[in-house]
Amino acid sequence: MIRLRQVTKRYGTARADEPALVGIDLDIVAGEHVALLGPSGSGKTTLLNLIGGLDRAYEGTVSVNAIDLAPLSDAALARIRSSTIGFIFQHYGLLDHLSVVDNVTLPGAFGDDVARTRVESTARAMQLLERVGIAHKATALPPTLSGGQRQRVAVARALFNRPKLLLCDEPTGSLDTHTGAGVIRLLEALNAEGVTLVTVTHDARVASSARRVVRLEDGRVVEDAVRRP
Amino acid sequence: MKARALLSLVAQSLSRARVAYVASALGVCVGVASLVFFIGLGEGVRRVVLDRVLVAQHVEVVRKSFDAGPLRVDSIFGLAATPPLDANAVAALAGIEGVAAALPRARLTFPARAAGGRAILGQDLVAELIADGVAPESVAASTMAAGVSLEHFVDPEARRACGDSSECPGDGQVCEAGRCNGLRCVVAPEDAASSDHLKTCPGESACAVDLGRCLRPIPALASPHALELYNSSLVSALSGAGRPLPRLTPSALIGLQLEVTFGEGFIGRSSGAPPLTRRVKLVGFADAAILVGLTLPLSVVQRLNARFNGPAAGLLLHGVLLDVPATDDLPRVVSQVRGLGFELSDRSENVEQAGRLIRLVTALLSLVSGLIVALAALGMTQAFFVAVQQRRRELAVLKALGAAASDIRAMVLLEAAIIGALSGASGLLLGRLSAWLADIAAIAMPHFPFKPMTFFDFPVWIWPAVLGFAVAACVLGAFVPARAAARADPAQALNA
Repeated sequence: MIRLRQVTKRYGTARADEPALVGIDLDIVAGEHVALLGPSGSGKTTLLNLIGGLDRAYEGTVSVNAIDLAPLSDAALARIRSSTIGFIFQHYGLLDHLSVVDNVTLPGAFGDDVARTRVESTARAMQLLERVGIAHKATALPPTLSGGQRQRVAVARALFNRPKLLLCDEPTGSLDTHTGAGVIRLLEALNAEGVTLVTVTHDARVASSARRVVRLEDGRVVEDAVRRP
Repeated sequence: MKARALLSLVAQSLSRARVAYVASALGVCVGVASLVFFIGLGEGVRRVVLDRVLVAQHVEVVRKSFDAGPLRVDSIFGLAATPPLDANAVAALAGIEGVAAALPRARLTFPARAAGGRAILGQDLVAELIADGVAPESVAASTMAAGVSLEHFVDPEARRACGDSSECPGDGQVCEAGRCNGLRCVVAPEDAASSDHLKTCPGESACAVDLGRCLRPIPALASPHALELYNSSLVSALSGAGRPLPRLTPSALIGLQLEVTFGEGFIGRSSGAPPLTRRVKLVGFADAAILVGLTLPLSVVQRLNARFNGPAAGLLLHGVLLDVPATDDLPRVVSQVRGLGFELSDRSENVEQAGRLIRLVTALLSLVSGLIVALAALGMTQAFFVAVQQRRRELAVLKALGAAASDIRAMVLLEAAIIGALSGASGLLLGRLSAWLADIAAIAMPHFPFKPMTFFDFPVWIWPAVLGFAVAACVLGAFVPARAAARADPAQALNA
């Protein structure tokens, strides 16, 4: 599913700039749940952005579904993000001026496969909101929701285009223990349905829910361990 | 990106940030309003000056002349500067593309005096008559006052073919030898000076002493501009001199008859033939008429010229009036006229220069308005830079959800286009409203010659053109911010 070879990322243009990632080799197969751990500044989010095609300035090779992302045009990369990848951010990334249901249907604006009409889009969004348990807030605006509710909306939105890969950046980072546990259960259920999860986290509970843990320090992989079921 | 989704996102975004864009949109609105106002004013003034004051659609062609000291002469050392104005020249001028009709004109080449007007002015006025002649069929190409029919503008001495007298017009016309002619009448020489002899002929016809026949009055046309000048300037000037005169309307004047003595005037008497008295009747007002004086049927003028100055004078044309319905064709027509070796009369030269001057002034005022819109577009750039910066994270989220750089660019540009369309439409309304208010204010201004009902003319093209200009200015203003937004690094924005 994901293949990284000798990936190095520098912020700044000079070769002498301290690299954020150094010679990363990583393979993630479809259906895996991988937790990316490490201290702040170790390169976890940078790695996630490279896999998601949000950051294009790097050395080495990043492939998703056997497609090398580097030579792709902006439009082609956008199509891959739309059809294959779902993002969940620590601070939710919801558009405050759109209702919950409009936020969830947003990915449909950029993809053609899931819902072609407004009615289909709304039906699909309501189905996902049911699943994350927040359908009753469909017409609410995000600022009126709690943190846990917003993250559930973000999960529903990430699932709108039926992605094969979910990239989660600190999905429980802004949530209390109880709410975070609910989100973790949701992610586990998705993984059980075959969705590949790559989760950046400091949360031990999230890490413990993953089958595989990749630990980064100073931009290098220092541990890559698979837990027994 | 789906069009529906694009529109929806843009609408929501505009609704959220409407206050931020109002200032810039206001600038565009004011710029567009002034642009509409000045273009409308320029077109309106151009219409009045060219169509009413100078009658631009009538270009008068004359023979080329030379400046010789204080004089203008048609030839130097016997060499003519231009070919003669004759039937061939008229045909060549009529063949120019854009010319609807070529109207030959001939001036009276001898003195004449007119008397009359008692019924309207309360007293008879006697004045030197300035007159010219145009072919009756040519008058059809000019604008005529309502209720005037061309059938009134025919040479009364023309002999129409007939089978019997019922086919001849009334007023004492009978069919003789297959031609309509006036009834015979005899006037004793001592009666000729009085008007009693008029009663011997039926209707409006009068006994023409020289012909011994009843003759209908010679029809004449006057210029509506002469009436305008009389009502707006002469009335007050003469009234101030202690001779109160009434304002006149075309309908009050039509039918006015004057007794004209051809061959004798205040400035002298023709030596070619004894003077001739005829009645002249005003049958209408037409743009084709001479500005000051009366316009008679061409054949009347040519016959009188021949009578008083010899047969050659009867064939002389002094000018050809070209009817050019589309004023846009004027430059090309003028160029071809000059190519044929003729020139324009001083009046038509003035038309050309006035048209150019008005266009120049309008262009300058429009340029100033365009600059206002351009400055507003710069303000739009600033506003969009701020907006894009504030929405940096939001745009990065959209990219993460599958938006391409081109989608982001389209979103920002569409927002600018909608702002441009809304502010442009508001500007159009504001400009039109300002023009309307200006016209209302102008009602209070004192009357002056050719004062129009409205000073503005809004051609149809102005609405899409100005709206398109406003949209283009805003889109152009938002172009750089849109490109910056499209190129922004989403990873950096999300991590910020």
